[in-house]
Amino acid sequence: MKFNLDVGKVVGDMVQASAGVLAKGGSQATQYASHEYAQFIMDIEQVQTMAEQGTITEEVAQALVNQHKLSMQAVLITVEGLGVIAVQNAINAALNVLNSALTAALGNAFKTLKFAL
Amino acid sequence: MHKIRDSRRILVVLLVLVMSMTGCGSIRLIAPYDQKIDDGVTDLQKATAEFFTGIERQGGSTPTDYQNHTRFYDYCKVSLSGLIVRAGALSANSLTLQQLEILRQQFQDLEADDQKMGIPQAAVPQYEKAFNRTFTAILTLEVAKKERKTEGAGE
Repeated sequence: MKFNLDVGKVVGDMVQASAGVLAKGGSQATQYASHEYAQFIMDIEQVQTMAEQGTITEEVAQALVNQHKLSMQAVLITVEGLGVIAVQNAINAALNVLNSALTAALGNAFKTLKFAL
Repeated sequence: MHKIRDSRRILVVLLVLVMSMTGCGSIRLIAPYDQKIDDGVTDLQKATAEFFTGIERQGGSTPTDYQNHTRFYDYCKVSLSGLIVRAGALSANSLTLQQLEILRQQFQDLEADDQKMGIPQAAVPQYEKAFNRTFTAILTLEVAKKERKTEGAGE
């Protein structure tokens, strides 16, 4: 069996594929987080203003702040999740490149191989 | 020369092993998209929006109105319970599970506030914003799981 695999090129392609996917995922997470952080600050300021103006009681203001704090925890979890997905996509993009390179290098011999754990 | 050839063979074997261990080219770090979670959270969002719209339209509520709201709270409790059980049944789904627990806490707090001091009309938009932020956070993560299928490695 003749095996032609340019390891340097494959590694380069893997890095390129994963870096692009990772950057895209990171950008989406940053965009989402920035928007939500800004909204959160505006909402807290508004609650504070309403409490100062007497539109709502201190007790209600505290309840609203607690609700906003809980919602921000959910946002932070989403940011974490988007990061995990970005890493996952980056790894899989690299594995795709590797898979294609191996398939091409091994040809039909590779296709007929079966692996089981 | 033999050493180079041997090391290439070892590399090939290692690569093939990696590919076989990762299920022919893809790994999973987070649970897949779940339509039921998406639908369930969307339904809860609608019910919550209806609830707040009703409160706002009637000019806010007092603690005596709480009895009229128990049906809404019961619906939310039961729906969330079902969603939490489902989310917990999927592996690598702890993030969504945590978010649903946060949502449950928000409903519990809202009910306690409603019972104790009612929901003033002026506070309604802020309550709604806080809930919508959580709904959006859960749905954003869920939809991102779905996009992964077309973007990452073929599954």
